[in-house]
Amino acid sequence: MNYKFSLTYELDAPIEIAVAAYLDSEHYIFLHKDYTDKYEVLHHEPHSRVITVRQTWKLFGVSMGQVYTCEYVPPAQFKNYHVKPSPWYIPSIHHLISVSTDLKYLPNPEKNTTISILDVEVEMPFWIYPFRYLIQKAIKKLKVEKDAEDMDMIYRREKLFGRGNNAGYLMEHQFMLYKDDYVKYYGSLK
Amino acid sequence: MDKNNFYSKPIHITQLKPEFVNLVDLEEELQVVVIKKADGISVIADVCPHMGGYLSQGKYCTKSSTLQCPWHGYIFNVDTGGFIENPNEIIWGNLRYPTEHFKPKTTPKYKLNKLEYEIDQDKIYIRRQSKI
Repeated sequence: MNYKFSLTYELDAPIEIAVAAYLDSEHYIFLHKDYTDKYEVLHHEPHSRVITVRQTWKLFGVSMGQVYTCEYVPPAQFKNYHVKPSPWYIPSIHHLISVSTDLKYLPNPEKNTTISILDVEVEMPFWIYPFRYLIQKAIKKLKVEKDAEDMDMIYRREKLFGRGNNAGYLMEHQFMLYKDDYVKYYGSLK
Repeated sequence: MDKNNFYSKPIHITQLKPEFVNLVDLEEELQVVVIKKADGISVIADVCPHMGGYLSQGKYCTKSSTLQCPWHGYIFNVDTGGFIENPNEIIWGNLRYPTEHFKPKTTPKYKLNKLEYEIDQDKIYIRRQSKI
């Protein structure tokens, strides 16, 4: 059975900063260490906007994770799909359900903020369907917590360098996912 | 010692935990990380030179005398302040190919902001900087 829901809220950051924070993959396992302790890029086509990653974390001392496909649609859309448990032999919710997410950031010019719209689609067997709201709640909790960590970083950088200052991301030695696309859309706003 | 050249709030050496990332608020909008080792004391502004992270929440390695930023994992030498390693070069290695706007061979020139100080009895006075 299929269940869809959306999470829409406002991020108190200009869109060039919200997108930079998403594409700034170097912080994934450090700032978000409570959720992920390892990221591996399993597959990518050079210069494409699709990568397959394995994301790992520890639960009660056991290392577990998921493999999924990430797709970037410039300038500000991020999709995750084909989520599979990894390793396959460790019991996981992903043996039972299939989750796809589609995150869009839209600029809110009046307030110089970003509207975040996350569309989630969950495929599940009929006997899990009664628990769909619990799944929704868990996904929402994870999203809100990780966004809060990102916002803590964004506010700190804003205090140090000024609102909307993305110069640190634009330095030529600084890596970020799909950097050329980012620079094309957000590289000359200042 | 001309006290006008120093922050008025001293750091009490006896209150510092050895081989530990001590966070001290000097007020005047300056927080510093103080690391007391057997062979000396390092006082560092609590701002990672990479992206501005809280070094006070970073990992300190006694053996290598290094401090790792909690935001992006960049590692710095506490004694010299020099940038040592970006672990993401391995983690994201197969995506770090050169592009128009990314030059992976460019070495970043990040350096910890180490503050000068003077010790007067059991107190450390931090010398003012023009800009931190």
